Amino acid sequence: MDFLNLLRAQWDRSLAIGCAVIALFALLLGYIGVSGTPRVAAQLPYFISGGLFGVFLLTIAATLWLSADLRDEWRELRLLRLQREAAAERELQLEALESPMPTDSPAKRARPQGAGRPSRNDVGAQR
Amino acid sequence: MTTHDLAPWAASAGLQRSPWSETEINRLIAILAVALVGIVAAWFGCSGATTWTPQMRWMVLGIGATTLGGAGGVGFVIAGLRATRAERRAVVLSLREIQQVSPYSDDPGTAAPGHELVTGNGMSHYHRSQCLLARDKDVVVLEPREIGASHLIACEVCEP
Repeated sequence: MDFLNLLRAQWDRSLAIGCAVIALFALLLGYIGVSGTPRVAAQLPYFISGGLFGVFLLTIAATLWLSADLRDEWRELRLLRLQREAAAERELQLEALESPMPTDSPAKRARPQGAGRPSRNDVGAQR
Repeated sequence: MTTHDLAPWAASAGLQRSPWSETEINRLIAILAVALVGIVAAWFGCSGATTWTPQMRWMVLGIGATTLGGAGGVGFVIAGLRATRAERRAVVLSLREIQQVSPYSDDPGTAAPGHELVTGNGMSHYHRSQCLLARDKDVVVLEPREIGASHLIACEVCEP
């Protein structure tokens, strides 16, 4: 996988790393600006543009990274569940094909009106 | 398992791509945008003020905006955690339905043949050998004393 494909596939983690790098750069610039001026009134804009903006970007980076982990885990779990549901559905269809219920079977005659379709256990019990 | 393994039936079932709804994503974007505007406004206002009192007001705005952005991120991650936990619970329940074989024989010291406790390289859990999460994987059989000595956790699906 080349670099561009990696960036495309892992766009959220790439963005998180980018935000973290810019945040560290902003914090460093803020520190340099604050330390270079003795007046508090002149230091405060550096505190906001460097410090607060850096913290803000770090928050975005952390959110992106954690959300990427969560998305991966969630997607795998969901895929597993959907596969399991599809397998169960196929299993039910196979069971229904293997044991077709005769129209005048005793089980059907004994079933009260409106009882609904037979369950898996009912079908299995007939074999 | 990756999304490349996505079967056609899964694609046709409209496989959602993330644990967040569109509303949650839009809400996060809106919160971050408001926070960013607040920080820029605070910086702009603070730079233009020359006295302490108005600068403090702009500072409060900046700190508030940063806190808002952080809260938005935390809320987003919590929403994702809850969705992932719900999905995990659904998977565990689904797998438990088909896990009906008891792995133990009458003798408490030994497991029934074919139902030993196993683990694999890189795994943090130990499983029954028939567990779906361990089946068809490169695993080694564990002795009961090995489990006690290791830091392995019991699988939540097969509950060995």
